[in-house]
Amino acid sequence: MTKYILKRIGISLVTVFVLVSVVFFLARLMPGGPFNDPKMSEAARENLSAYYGFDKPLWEQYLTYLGNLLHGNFGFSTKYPSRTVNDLLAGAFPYSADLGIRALCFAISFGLVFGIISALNRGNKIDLIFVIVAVFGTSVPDFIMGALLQYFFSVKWGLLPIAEYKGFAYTILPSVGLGFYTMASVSRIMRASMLEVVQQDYIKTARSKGISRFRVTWKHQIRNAIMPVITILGPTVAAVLTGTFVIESLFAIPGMGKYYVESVQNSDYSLILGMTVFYGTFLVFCNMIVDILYGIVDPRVRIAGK
Amino acid sequence: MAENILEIRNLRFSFRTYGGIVQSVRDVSFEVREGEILGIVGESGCGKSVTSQCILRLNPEPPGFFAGGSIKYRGEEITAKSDREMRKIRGVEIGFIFQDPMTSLNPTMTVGKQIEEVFVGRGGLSRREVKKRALEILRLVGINEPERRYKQYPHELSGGMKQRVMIAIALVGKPSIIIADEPTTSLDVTIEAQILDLLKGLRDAMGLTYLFIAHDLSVVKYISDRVIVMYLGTVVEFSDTEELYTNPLHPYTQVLLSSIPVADPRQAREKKRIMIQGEIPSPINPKDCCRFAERCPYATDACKSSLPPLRELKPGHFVACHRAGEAGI
Repeated sequence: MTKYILKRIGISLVTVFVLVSVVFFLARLMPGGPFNDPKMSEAARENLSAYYGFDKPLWEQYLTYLGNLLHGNFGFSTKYPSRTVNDLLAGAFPYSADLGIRALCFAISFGLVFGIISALNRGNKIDLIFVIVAVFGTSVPDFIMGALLQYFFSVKWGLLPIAEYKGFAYTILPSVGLGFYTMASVSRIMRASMLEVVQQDYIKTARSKGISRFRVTWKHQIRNAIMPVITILGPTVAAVLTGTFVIESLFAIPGMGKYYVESVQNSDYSLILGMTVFYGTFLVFCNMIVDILYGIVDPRVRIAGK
Repeated sequence: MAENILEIRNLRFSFRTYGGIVQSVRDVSFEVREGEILGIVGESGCGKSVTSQCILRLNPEPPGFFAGGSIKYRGEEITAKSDREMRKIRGVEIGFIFQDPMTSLNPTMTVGKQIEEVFVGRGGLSRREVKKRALEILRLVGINEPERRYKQYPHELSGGMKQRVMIAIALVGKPSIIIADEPTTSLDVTIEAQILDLLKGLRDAMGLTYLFIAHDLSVVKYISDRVIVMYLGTVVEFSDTEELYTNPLHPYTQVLLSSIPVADPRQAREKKRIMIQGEIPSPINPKDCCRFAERCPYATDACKSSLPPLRELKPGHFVACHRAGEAGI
């Protein structure tokens, strides 16, 4: 198991390195640059370029960047002068992560419960309701979902605050808005997986032993049905925890979401790279956790990994 | 004569499907005597598995449902029982061995836990006693190093070993009847022989009764005391094994027996094979006639208009055929 994990970490490092390199050069290939303001004089532009080191040859910039990255230094932002990318991330990530964890807790717990109830009531009205909720959740985009939540729960019924992030009540709507899609997809996958597992021979074996229906469902069906849900959790966790542009803007949350869009618009090279590396590392890390989780849930994977 | 431990009378079990109602089991009657091995043979889809699973109510209901008849285990009617009441029979009165050991064990649970589960919710035994029973039964079904196997997962075991574990699960609750649904079909021939001998030995050692289902005629001949031949949801012939194999009365049985391959090429050349035409008719909305009539070389108009009842042509030898017993058939 240790050897397996070490191997996974090695592969992950290579993945992140390739990611950094590709994004570094892709960002430079974009038309325009960080100092495109037409009001800016030519001299000022050259000064700034020299200050940030953009006048040096590309490979030299690349090596400098890699060197800094090894020290955990993402460099200075060109859009927010005097602030490092590290500062920006450190200021925004806690908000995104806090919101993301809440959204995930909501999405996974409700998704699993809905999926299980739905599968156990296959074909009747309860199932139909949950299936409709799941289809709704996976097909309605988040900006509409967020706006709907705000309209009904804040404007119309006045139950919850409409925006900002200042206490538990404030966190409910954005968490639901952010987690709804994941909740719906978890519920759909769990339902489908439960219905597949229930047809397996070992469920019949379990029933032939004369144990309770509850135990058959809990010990035999759910345990085996949960694998596909774990599979989608890796990328989902990474995406939800590192902030989303739409939900954070709608609810005025100072998270990381806006930097994804802003950094590219402003050709803020260091910020683009910082965001990408941060998100990429997070994604690779989450997928690794999922692979290890597999081994815990499914003993067959444990052997293969030895 | 031994007591009838299980009595099945005019059993009908059907499934609702999009295409219509499939009558999987249609008017099946037989009894299982205490201590015997009763074999059921028939081709795929003839209803032998559904019949056997009716006894433990393991068929999915719905879409399946009882359309009539009765199943009595030691005088108790099974078709009327609730799921909760069935739990008192499953595993402890009647054990079940499934066809495919590769897929019939839960991949995420250790072998020991799967065996011990039979005792969950029954009370009476301490955890240590349960474990002792599990280890005992593993040894009994011929598994070496039971302590090690106890902690292993199914994928760490070979196919034959898995089937032994399945047998252990069926036996651990000390049932009086074991239903074995093609227990050796997915195993290779040497393992098959080992498992058959194990089952026979266990019957003698534990005083078990078997309902043994197979599509392999030689396996059934080897293990059973009496044999039922099924075709498309009905019993077509029912007799002592020796009698059935030497003197088959139903044309379908004759066809089946003639298809057994013979190892000796000289004998094989001399052996008469009966070929039949056509395919198995659809089990959806069947006509009220002999189900084999369309393919039977001896069929007459009577066969195509009325269902032949199961009649006792010789003592203990039942056959469902209008023309059986006539000269030349």
